[in-house]
Amino acid sequence: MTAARPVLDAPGTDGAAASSPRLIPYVPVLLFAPCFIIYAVLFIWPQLSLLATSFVDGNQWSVAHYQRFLGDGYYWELLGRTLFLGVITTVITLVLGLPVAYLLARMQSRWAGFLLVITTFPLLVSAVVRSFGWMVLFFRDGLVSKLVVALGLASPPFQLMYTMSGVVIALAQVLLPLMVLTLYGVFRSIDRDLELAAMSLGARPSLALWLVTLRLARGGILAGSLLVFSLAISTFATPSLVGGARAHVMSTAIYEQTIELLNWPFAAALSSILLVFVLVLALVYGRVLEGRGQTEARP
Amino acid sequence: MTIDLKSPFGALLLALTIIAFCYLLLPILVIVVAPLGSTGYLSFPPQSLTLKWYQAALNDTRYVGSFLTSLKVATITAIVSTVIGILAAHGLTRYEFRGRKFIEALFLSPLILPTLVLAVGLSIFFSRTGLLTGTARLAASHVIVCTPYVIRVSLPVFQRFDRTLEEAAQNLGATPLQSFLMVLLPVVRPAIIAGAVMAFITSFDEVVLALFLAEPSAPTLPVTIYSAVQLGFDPSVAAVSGLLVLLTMALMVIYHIFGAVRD
Amino acid sequence: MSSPWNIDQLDRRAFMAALAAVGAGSLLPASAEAQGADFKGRQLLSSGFGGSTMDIIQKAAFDPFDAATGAKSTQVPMQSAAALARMKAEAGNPQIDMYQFSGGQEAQAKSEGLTEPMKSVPNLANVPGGLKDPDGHWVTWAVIAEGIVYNKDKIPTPPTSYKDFFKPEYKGHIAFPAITNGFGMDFLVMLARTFGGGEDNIEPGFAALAKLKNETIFKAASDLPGLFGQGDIWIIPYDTGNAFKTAQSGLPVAFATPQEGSPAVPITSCIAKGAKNADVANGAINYLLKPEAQIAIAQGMRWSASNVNTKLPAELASEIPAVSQLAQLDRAKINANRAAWTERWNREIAR
Repeated sequence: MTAARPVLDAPGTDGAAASSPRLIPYVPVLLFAPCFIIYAVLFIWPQLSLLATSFVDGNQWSVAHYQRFLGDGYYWELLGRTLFLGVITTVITLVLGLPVAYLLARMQSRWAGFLLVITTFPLLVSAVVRSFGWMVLFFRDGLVSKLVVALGLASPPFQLMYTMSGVVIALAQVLLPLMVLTLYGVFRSIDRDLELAAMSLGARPSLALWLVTLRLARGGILAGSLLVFSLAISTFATPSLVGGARAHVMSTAIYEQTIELLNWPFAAALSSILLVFVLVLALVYGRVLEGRGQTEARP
Repeated sequence: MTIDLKSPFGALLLALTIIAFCYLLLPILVIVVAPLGSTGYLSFPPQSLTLKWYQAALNDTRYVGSFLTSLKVATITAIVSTVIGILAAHGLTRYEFRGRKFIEALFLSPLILPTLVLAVGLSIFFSRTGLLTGTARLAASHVIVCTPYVIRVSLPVFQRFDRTLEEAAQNLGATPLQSFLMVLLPVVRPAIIAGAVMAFITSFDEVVLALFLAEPSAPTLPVTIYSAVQLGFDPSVAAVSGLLVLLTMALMVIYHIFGAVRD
Repeated sequence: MSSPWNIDQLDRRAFMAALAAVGAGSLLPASAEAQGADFKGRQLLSSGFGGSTMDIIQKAAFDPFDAATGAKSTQVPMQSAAALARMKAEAGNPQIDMYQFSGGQEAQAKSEGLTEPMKSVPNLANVPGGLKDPDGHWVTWAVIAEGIVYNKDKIPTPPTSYKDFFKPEYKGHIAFPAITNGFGMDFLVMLARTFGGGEDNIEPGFAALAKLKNETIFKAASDLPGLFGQGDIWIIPYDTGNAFKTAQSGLPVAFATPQEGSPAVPITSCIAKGAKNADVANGAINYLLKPEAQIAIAQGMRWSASNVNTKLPAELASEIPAVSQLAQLDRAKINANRAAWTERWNREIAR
């Protein structure tokens, strides 16, 4: 990073004045080409052929699998619970991830890198084993469940195991490192001088400065939120192992249809419905967060 | 430090950070410490101490073998995903064109689809086409899951990057390739590293695609762990994950000692 | 005139029969040995149950098979349900030659056309009719007995019936598996039987289960030590194998046979259709059915034997119920209703 410092100190402010000449159209094509070819063969083709089965019932084209979902309150409840799980998890990882990433990015010590690696430890522990760790803490006689009772937040007998709250706690812990890593990269790329400039222009330290920083980092906040949200709603292991049968969400329902009942057409229908909802949500969230910034940055 | 940690708001940030670290590490502590207990089930804090579960994990050749398989798959996956992901992210932010948002959504959508659905689609596909064999099948499939992480993480940094810098470099006579390598890459390096780390770890810990697509005679570590608990659980399984944490920590400490020597 | 001819014919028949008997008695093992030599350098891939279970089965059957025939057998750790899904995804071009199932998947595999009949497995003849497919597509090589697993310290007198799950003094200390866990499905069916229904009339089962809906519901066998260790759970409908394993881990847990009967869960093997090493798989299945292998599996896992010639040592026999004493559930009916009951269970019990 130090090598890049002089470059960053060069004149120019955040994107506002940027304007690029129209470049020869084949350059972006070349940049996409490797990614696109791999996606075309290993993602688009296999997934479209699987998706096609969701429009087949018996031997003819049909939307029966979609009707089964859309016409049944139970599945709407499932979708609602899934999206709720995604939102709560994202909020928790944002509240904790922003300070961690910011302090690590601004820390001068060599130990910043060490601390950054420590934040990734939850990712090193296999999902199955990690949920056993939580299990030990979440059962009725476990440390965390007892703590919750001792704090007066619940009355005994109480356990976090097999509850939606337990799933949220376990899921946010493993997704927090991803949020921190995403924000860390963005905070490091924000020129500190910009913050100082904002302060000299009259912004009071601390809170106001923080708001300026957050505004500059909104792209990273968007990226981190969408990353955590996407994974929270599609992960299967934690909801299944920590949540058991009561934390039934879209991903566990898809697992049930795929593995236990071998109803792949319906599983494909469930996942395409999930995909559509999430893409729409992501679009709305992006609009809200980026607001006018988006149009300013891209003339 | 730009925000004064002694101010009330700075103290709040610091407090949240400490809470976050405790939260991140508590279950890890359980995983590392609980297998030290002598009981055949996990308990925390552990009762009488023993190393037998750690020994059992180390003596089980299956874990070592599958650890090496996972390492191989994750390394290939991380390299391929990072290269194609960075190029794609650059293309997505550098150029304005019709359908840009669509391509971005397409590249990111494997994150949203449950991996199980990807696994079924891919395994039918490989089975019918006979494309790729052995461990390459799994690595190729992991690329699809891991590339979105790289793109997701590097997009905002590429977006933040001031385009005028690159143009200035080009005005000074640098070719687009030179300006990409010498001006852009250093600035986005933290994001690239973050993306590569995420890709590596995601592949290393991925279990569903591996269940379907791993070379049958060479299962990955998560598959070995996942299956070991099908008909019951013993603490040596947790010890395997504990060893992984300790190994990473040891590598970090060594790296820092050598870093100190170099300084 | 006709009699000498008849006698002649009779003699020829007798001669042919004698020849066949000799063939069955001595020629067949000889040909099996000859086959064994053929497997030198051949690789066999079978799905397996993972962990220590896989090791016990490897030592009991696959290692002796490899030693005798020169084949190299590898078990691929895989949960039964996931194994069937992989088998289906690879239909027509299987990567894994042979599968082991513990949750009734074999019948589904056969009906989806994913299996092929076994050939030249002499020990198949020693497995009773109910434990193998009439068309030879799968065979049971071990049987798990389900019943009641309980905490000896909290419940000093062993439970005797599925009705014990409704005793008020156990309230808040009961756990049962979800329906997607095979044992959860069997619990539903056994409750139906206990309260006057059965596979044909599941209504009483759901009615009984609804009374337990506020108790702890879990999904995986691996939760058992946690449930008994930290979860303050006293009584769970589960099997001999897990009761044994949990007790071995140091928890005060025992198994009880309910008076309504212990449902039998078959552990089976079948060969993937079009498997490259189907001949090797046939040989390995024969070894899984050998009495020596089944005794070793009974010792390590507390699973019952399926070969009628397997004679368990007395101290083992007292611990493991014989297959003939177990309750047989109508697996075909259960499979036919699986999707509907799962849907209903999700809505009425888990919600």
